[in-house]
Amino acid sequence: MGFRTEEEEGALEGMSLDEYLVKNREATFMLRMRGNGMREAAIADGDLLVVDRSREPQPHDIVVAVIDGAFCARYMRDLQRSDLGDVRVEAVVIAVIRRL
Amino acid sequence: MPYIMHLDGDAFFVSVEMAKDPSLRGRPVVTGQERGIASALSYEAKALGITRAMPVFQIRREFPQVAVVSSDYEAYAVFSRRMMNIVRRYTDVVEEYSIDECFAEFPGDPGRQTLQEIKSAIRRELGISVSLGLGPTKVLAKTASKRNKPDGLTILAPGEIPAILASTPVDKVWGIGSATAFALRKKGVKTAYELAQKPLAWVEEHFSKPVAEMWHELRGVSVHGVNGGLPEAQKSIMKTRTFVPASRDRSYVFSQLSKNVENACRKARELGLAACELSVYLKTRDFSYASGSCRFVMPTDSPFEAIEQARAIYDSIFDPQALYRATGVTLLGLMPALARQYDLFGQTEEKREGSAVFSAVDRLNRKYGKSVVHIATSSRALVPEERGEGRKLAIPFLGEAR
Repeated sequence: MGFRTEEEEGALEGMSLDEYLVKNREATFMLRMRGNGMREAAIADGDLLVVDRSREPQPHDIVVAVIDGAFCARYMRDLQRSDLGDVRVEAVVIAVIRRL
Repeated sequence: MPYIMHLDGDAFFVSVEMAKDPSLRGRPVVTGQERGIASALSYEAKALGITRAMPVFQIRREFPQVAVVSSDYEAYAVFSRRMMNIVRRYTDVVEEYSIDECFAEFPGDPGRQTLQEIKSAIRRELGISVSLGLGPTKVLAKTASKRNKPDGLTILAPGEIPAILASTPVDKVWGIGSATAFALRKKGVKTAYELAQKPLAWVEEHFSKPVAEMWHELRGVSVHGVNGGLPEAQKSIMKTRTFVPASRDRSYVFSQLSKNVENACRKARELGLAACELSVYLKTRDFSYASGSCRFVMPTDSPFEAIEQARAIYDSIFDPQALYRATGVTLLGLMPALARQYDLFGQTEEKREGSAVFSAVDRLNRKYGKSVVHIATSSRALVPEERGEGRKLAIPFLGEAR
């Protein structure tokens, strides 16, 4: 049993997924993951990524960066280490959504 | 003294396309593929000498390096709303002047740093750039925002206003139409500065009230408050709806369109405006567009008339094989509803009876919620949100990542 989490408290009135997922409404967007480049983070082809463009990226964050003119999901620390050249970090991935 | 800011999106439609698709950044880009003519241009495209309304086939032939994309009006509406919401973090008094422009009023001097913060928040959170102008009146703020585009920030210091007005031709002053500019030039007034230097009595003697108001605004006396709006502010009203799942159900898709028409007409009535023209588009699941437009016999704010016209366009563009995901409606050529002329063939009397019905409908909907009374053709488009079952989750989709 134990204590109910913050989310479960409101569960009977219906939980709002956007309130749960979204911190900054204006800065939040979704992208669809293509390919298995982030399998390491258990992100699969077809998953939806919820991203926040206002959040300051930390080394452990999964971020969306522009590499060769395309959005790419990567660990921030991998971007810092690599010599990818012109890489622009655009947003931090704040949630992954997958229909089972 | 109020401090009024004018915000102007830089090549807004194209900037949104670039925010959505990084491969377009830094390239010459043109929107309007679906209409066959350029409707918005990136600065890089302007630099090549491409102009608005240039046919797409000509651009393709003469400038093969240009990326031509379809307009994504839903994305423009989302980015616009978000841009205005970011400004609202800094002040409550915000007037949405058009899809890519707003005015905001600050009780005291917001300071350069606040304005810089607004610009950086919009750049960081939306990935687009804007130009800001700050001045004591709307007209001066708008003059300022135009000074350093793109990505500009211009704060008008009282001392430099004369020099800036002296380099602004009268026809470039916001709110002065070409006829007024012509009349001013004939009387020897070529720049905004020369207008501001004339005695008020002279302006009142030769010109109408709006020009006298302009005279005050140019001299730093605010006549048009934020949210007061000049009547010509609203050039068009656009309503779009996306629905999930996509549909090829003829009556359902029309219902979505009908709801847009109803909402657009309600907005027009709220603003006291009537439209001369109606334009309609359907968007398929694979993002291709079909569109059409028509002119009304008489300017109207009645959804009955507008839906009738929308139906005719719809029937000519609806493709039973296509899967649709969005519909949109734009009312164009807006004018004050009271200024309508009556047509010669007596159609209007009959239609005017409808207007009493709609003021009653507006009252009921204000009292009991947005859509308690609606037009039957719209009923299949009422989403749970409008039946009072809570808000829907809506996070805009930006594209794909790999």
